[in-house]
Amino acid sequence: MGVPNWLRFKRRDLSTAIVFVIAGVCVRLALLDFNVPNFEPVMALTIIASMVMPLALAVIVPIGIMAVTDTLIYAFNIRGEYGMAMIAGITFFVWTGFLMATLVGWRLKKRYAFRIGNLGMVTGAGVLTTLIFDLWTDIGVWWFSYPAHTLDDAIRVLQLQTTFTLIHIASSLIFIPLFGSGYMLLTEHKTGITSPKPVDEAGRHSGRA
Amino acid sequence: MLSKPQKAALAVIVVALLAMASLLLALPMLEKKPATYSAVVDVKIFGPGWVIVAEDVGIDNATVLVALQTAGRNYGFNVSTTHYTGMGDLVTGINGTSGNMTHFWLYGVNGVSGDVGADQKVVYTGDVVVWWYTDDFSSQPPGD
Repeated sequence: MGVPNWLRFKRRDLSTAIVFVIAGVCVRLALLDFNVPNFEPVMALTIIASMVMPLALAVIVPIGIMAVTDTLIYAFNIRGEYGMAMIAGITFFVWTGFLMATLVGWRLKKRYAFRIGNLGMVTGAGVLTTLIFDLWTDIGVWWFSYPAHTLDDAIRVLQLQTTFTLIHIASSLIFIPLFGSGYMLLTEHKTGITSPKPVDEAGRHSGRA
Repeated sequence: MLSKPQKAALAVIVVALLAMASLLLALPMLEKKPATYSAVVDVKIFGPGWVIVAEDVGIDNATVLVALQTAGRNYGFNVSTTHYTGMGDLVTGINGTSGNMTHFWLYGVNGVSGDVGADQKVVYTGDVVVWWYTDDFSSQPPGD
């Protein structure tokens, strides 16, 4: 029995994943100084990673960034007031939210190649994913911070979330084009000229290039 | 020499960086500045296993946050806050008890839970400001 496509990767893919994790860690930590909640690079890097590398490695990118930065922020309290609990319930929702974003990018990859002409569409999908992510993490807040679990509490969570979500959408609108274009400039894909066509599970080229 | 797609990618990077700079510069301007006048209020704080009652706290710039900070100076307990750009100040610790991912400091005025940030909530002479430490966002201000 062969190894499934989504588990196969080349050494260069691994290097790319490591660069993504390092970039995500550096940018997330640097942005802490600005104290703008939800203005973060992880969502963008997660979606881009899932479009340019095999799923097995793409999953490592958000988990790697979050594991390193959450450890530094919460366990070692390097920045911020909440010295605390790596395994808190909200963290579960945040991490699994990023895994959902990985799956969105992975599905997108089957239809669209990652090139400059498709960057607008990828950004749009990223904004939609950001909304889904925020709704998912809101469920976590509602579950863990409002023990009564009433509909009123759920509405209150959504109301309080509004500003955070607007900033998060702005974050995706900025970071997906920024990192996406940066990746295209720095890699051998030559921004789409030699970018591979989307490939399905069976290894066939499919969808729009 | 850059190819056409590379030039396009470079243009996108420049636009994205400009957008980021604009956002970071514009957000602080969105923070509301509440009206400034004086008031005399009571501040009660219910921590885990301790209570502080500060009566007749005279304040300028009459907001819930200033009332808490002034009570802290008058009664010798510390108040820590974190400023979030575009949103204002979040109280993260009172009298050595810090909030964390599961426990928070909430406030209420005259028995009604706060609906805006403590630095945005205006108070008036005679108001009673209550802070309490809880793991339940939907909890109500404790009584006396």
